[in-house]
Amino acid sequence: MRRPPHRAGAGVRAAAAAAVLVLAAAGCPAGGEGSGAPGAGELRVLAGSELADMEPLLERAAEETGVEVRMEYTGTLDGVEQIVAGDAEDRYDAVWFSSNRYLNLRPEGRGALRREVPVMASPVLLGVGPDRARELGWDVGDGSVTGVAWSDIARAVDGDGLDYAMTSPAASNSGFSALVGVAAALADTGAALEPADIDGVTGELAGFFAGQTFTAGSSGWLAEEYVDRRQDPGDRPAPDAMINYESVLMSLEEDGVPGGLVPVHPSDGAVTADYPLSLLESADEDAGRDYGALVEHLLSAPVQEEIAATTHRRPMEPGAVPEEARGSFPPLPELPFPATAESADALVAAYYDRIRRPARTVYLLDVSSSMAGERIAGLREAVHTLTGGDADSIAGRFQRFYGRERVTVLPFASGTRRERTFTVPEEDPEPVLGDIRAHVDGLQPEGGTAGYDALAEAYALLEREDTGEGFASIVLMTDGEINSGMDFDGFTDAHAGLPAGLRGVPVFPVVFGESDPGEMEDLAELTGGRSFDARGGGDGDGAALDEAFREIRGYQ
Amino acid sequence: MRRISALAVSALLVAGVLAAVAWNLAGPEPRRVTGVIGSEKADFFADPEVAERFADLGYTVEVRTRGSRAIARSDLDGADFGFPSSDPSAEAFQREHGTDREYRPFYSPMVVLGHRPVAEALREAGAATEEDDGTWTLDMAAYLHLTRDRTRWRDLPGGGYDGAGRGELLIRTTDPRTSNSAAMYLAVVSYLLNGEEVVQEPPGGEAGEHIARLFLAQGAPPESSKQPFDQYAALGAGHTPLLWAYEAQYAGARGPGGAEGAEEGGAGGLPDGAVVMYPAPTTVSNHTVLPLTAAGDEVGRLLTEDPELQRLAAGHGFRTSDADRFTAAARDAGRPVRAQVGDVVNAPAYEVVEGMITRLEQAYADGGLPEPADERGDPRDGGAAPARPPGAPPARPDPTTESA
Repeated sequence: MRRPPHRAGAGVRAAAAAAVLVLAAAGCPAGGEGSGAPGAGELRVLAGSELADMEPLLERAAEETGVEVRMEYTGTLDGVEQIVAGDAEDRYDAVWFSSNRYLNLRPEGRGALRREVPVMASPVLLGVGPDRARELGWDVGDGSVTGVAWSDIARAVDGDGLDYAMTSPAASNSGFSALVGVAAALADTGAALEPADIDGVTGELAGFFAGQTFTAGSSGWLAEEYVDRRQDPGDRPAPDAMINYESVLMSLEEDGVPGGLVPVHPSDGAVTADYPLSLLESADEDAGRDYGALVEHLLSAPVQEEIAATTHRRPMEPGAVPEEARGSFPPLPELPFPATAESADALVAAYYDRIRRPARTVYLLDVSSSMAGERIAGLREAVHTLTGGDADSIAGRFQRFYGRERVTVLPFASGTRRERTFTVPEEDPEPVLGDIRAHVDGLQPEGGTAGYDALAEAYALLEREDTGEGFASIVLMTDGEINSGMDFDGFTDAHAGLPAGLRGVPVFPVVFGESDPGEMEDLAELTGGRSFDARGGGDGDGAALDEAFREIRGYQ
Repeated sequence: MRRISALAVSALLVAGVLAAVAWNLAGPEPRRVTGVIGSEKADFFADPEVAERFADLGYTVEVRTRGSRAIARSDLDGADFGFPSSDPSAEAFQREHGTDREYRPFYSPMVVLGHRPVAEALREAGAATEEDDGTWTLDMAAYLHLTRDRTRWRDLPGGGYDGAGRGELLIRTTDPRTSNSAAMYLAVVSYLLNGEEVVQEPPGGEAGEHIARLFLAQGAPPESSKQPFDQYAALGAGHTPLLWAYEAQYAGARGPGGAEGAEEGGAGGLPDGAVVMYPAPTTVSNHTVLPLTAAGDEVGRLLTEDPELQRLAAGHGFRTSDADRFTAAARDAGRPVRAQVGDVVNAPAYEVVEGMITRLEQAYADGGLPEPADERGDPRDGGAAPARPPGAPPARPDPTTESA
């Protein structure tokens, strides 16, 4: 089952527009049945990819209100960046993410929205198989674990080896919410976390996040991989549990996950996504009216009932859950979200630089002769971003190489060139980041493309060292067909001969230039990675490469 | 052929007559009037009955919502009137635009919405009382005492409330930087922390720190008053044990009592076990129409004098000049309300409110609590500002002497 390569930064380049979906009731006259329905227009919405499951409901909204919703999907962080940079103004009327909290911490973000109305809610929780939960001595009630606090989950990680999948907090709202919630719970101040509280709780957080054995940049992909690995782990790590939205956990359980998946409703609460449909300040009057009609429709009792029944998100209309189903949505305390950008940023920085398992990354960089010119310039730009060259942007802050990360740069052409490995220190990383930048700036394109020889070399390199508990991964960036040295079949055989631990190290191929997307996808599949399409307009422009490299950070 | 044209001609005639009839029935095109309002009144203006009544009176009223501070400051872009929700905002607006006319069609005291087990825990802690009319009184001085000690819900004297996890006792408010509702909270807590005097300058020292903590300890604040209300209503007592709200949000909401009013607005009903608590003291949000044009003036007058619009406002939970109408509407909806709200403090002068908000802004930006006031130096004069700018019209009904 081959999945198409994930297009990097799909939302950024509207021109690419691959993800655009027009939800129009074809031929349906505007106005619908409600006499007061003013909408005849189209509402352009920049949305989080987790909202794709609302499409059937939006089709119905188009029929009943005449407002056609044009959703374009992107990741939360990317969306925030577009809004803060003012790039969303011209292209969208509204934005719809699982939460605006992160956006609202930025002064530019707060000013960008005219109205925000929460449409539904879903807390971010741990989901675990009921048998595993019972092994841990937890009380598995009717479809839910209760009586467990986040500190109990930390104890299960430490004492019973509980492990779980969770998205990257810098890339995805569910990971961010989990980090914030767990930090608030373990700091146990009873109030919102302040920067000064973070040092005191770092040790406990490191204990909790030692259980995170699988990470990803998107909650949807994480869920898909989680299920895939529960079904047939192969050599890939298949964690016991997963942190995700309650709605995602319930939907997976409904569809059937091997071993089951029940949400843990912690006694000390969670951070809840509230899915605010938000009108941009820049929207015109017609869009404002359409927005109003859509919000009213989505909050109406029948639609709220449908939201609860089909997406498993909690409705904002208290009566929309039938009496017998209320048990699946027990009330939860809300763990406080930091009041200031400084607290949130300090927490995320601490997570990457000091708390989570360190990253071990190998970058296989194609420096064959076809890379000359714009392509090598794009590659250098991408590495500049990863070395914190753009400290003003959110990406520059949170997608750079992390403290304690070991980064190997392994250039290849007709053969592999000499590799260099850098260790980014926890404190004062700038000199080492500067060395990485300078090293990549010095690479000169020349020769053919021996990608699989380079891959074999990368695995050999990892085999020689003890990657231990870290998140090891390999990025393969190549701009052409692999035409020199080992071919894909040869590599498949070589991969099968690797020690079990190494076979689980994922490869993230970057499809660029003339490289073969199908083959790169097979390579990702074989190693448990994900391929990223950086072809942009088709000829491999540098900006797309930069986006792909940044996006991959969420998976490392 | 001939018959067909004859038919066509008579059809045209019929159409013409119908058009003429329609024109006579509908009257001339209604006049379009635009206003900039606080978001808490958006549901009122969106109510089709309100729109219909305005149409009957010859107007189409279009509104844009703005935070109360933004109403005073922003470029109103040809608006006919502003409609902020507090005296300080109204004062700032009039100064900004050099106007002095005003209408006060309705008002709303600030309340604290809770849930029965939460209210009972507060009663056991000696901070709340249940009254005979079914409403509660929240002793704000006792509340401030408990928050100064950072008391958690589960540790409240008298048994506590277990549903809020590790959380501290804190009333959920909106963002004081943008929202009027939070500024009203500021008026009450600053009054109490100032020895029960309306503050004449932004409090510094311990009182200033306490005020900042009341906001910052809540974490990231919601932007507008609708958002936390919906969460209070939908997500249970543990999520939002206590919410600072306009009484109108409570009295005008749908709920177990089965009220009219906001029915078409979807979510926004009250949860089972909702209780309304009147803070002692509280303050009053005076919704004030500030005309910029003759048409805007007319809208203000109609909102104040037209009995039908006054009736609709009462249905949305606002208190109008006829207090009995409000009380009756709320009781019909199964909402206990207090007939007379006696313990009310006035908002501080605009400069003082601004000064307090500026300090909070600083606290949010610094990521912590403000430094002691004397080290910061306030650019504003901070002195006692006149309660009203010179030339302001008198005859503002004094909320402290409100009659039922």
